Amino acid sequence: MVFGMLAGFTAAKSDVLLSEDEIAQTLLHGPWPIEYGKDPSNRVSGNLEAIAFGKALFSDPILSRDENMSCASCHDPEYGFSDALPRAVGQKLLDRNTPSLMNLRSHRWFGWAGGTDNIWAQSIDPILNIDEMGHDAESLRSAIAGSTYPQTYGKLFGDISKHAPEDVLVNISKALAAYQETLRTGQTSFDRFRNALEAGDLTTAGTYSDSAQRGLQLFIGRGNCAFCHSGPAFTNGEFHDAGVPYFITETRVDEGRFGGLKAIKQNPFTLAGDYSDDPEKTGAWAVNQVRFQHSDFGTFRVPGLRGATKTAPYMHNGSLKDLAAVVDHYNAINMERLHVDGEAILQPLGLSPQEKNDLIAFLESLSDDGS
Amino acid sequence: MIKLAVLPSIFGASLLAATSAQACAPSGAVELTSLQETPFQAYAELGLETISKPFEIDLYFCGDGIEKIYRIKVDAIMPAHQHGMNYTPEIYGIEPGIYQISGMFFHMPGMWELQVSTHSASETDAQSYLFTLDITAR
Repeated sequence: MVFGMLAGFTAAKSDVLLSEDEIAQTLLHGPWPIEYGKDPSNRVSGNLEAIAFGKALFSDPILSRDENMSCASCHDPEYGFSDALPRAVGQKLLDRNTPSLMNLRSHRWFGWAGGTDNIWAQSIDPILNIDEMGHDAESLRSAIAGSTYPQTYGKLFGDISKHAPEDVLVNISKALAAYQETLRTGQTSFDRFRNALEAGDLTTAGTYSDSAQRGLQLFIGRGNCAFCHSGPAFTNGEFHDAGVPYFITETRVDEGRFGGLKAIKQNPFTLAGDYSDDPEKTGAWAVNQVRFQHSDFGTFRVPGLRGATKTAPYMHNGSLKDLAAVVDHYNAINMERLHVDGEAILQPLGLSPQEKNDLIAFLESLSDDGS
Repeated sequence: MIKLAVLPSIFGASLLAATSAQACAPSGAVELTSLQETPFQAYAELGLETISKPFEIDLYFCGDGIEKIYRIKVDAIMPAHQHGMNYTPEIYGIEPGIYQISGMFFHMPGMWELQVSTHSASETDAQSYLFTLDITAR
């Protein structure tokens, strides 16, 4: 409040409501977008032909053994490369919500449980999963070799007939990754606000709505949201217990990160493995040094919030239908559901109806980039 | 488990005897505290820039008795949130009393407590000291 009054501008639609400390915290959520450069683990990252190849493959049912679904069947651009369903439907109803594919380069771990540590490997799981696309490496190689793709494949990776099935699987996934890493959200009204604050342009900053500013204050303050939804992508990339039930059925439990850690320790397609194209093994520290902890049971990856208005329903099981339901969830969180040794920061927020609307206005301002 | 660093025995006592608190740590290093009476001091140079990115720490032990340091352990916890780090840091012995720690990772903003303990080699001459440093991460 003081900040806006000191600026003495009256023509702007709104004042800047944030304190100096709140402004400092706000600046930590940018700048955006981030330029990541090429992925060193993927030799076709940034290659325009690979991007086009990956885009074609993404919508081609050839990647499913029965040719009845493609990546785009679940990762629909209209829904932020998610599917608007509570839980994904492959060859049957799956256990988790389809995660968005936007801003993948901001991830350290992939999927709700982090069973992979890089973009190309995260495509391998659904291709091989019998409940999703159902290929094995040999059937995938046969399908690609018998399609119209061998020439394009050969130009990027070499003669497919001389490649082992596992190498074809990885190369196809790297082409998919080259495409998927181009799926990024743009600047939003929040970013214009944040950048104006950084530049000291309070007139422009003041055009960001009062409601969104109050919601931002809750987000970085009393709501404790920014503890996990931190940084420019609004995620710390790690795993937390958000108080969402992890029972899939009465007798079946989703282990969450605990299962993801078991999976990645057996996964040959990590940044530390031989399939990475990076001789420096950049980023492999994470899989090499990650800890197994009992508290990982039932925790799930913190999703980024950019573009979130398109990706409802929310949470790992899609149990919250819209942003209002998410805010209500945290507003009246079930403390008995949380781990005893889990996050000590979550507690019912006691937000008023106006405050809930403000928080939603802020969240919506992370999605108005027109993408 | 914390990875342990074992220094080779070639590190000479004469070299260690010449080490002082003022001389052995860079001027920008921060002194850790201990609730115990310790024969030497611990200093840290922090490479922390922001949360959610791995960073390194250089540790310096200065004073009498650092020749008895056989291994060290390094970890960090977030007392207010009742959790530690999600990654195990790597510890490298550089010189007598100097260690480089990689793979430190603070995944949340707020106050973290860096915990460094030193341990002697002998079970019968077990001398261990715990040093801590409060670090505010953003």
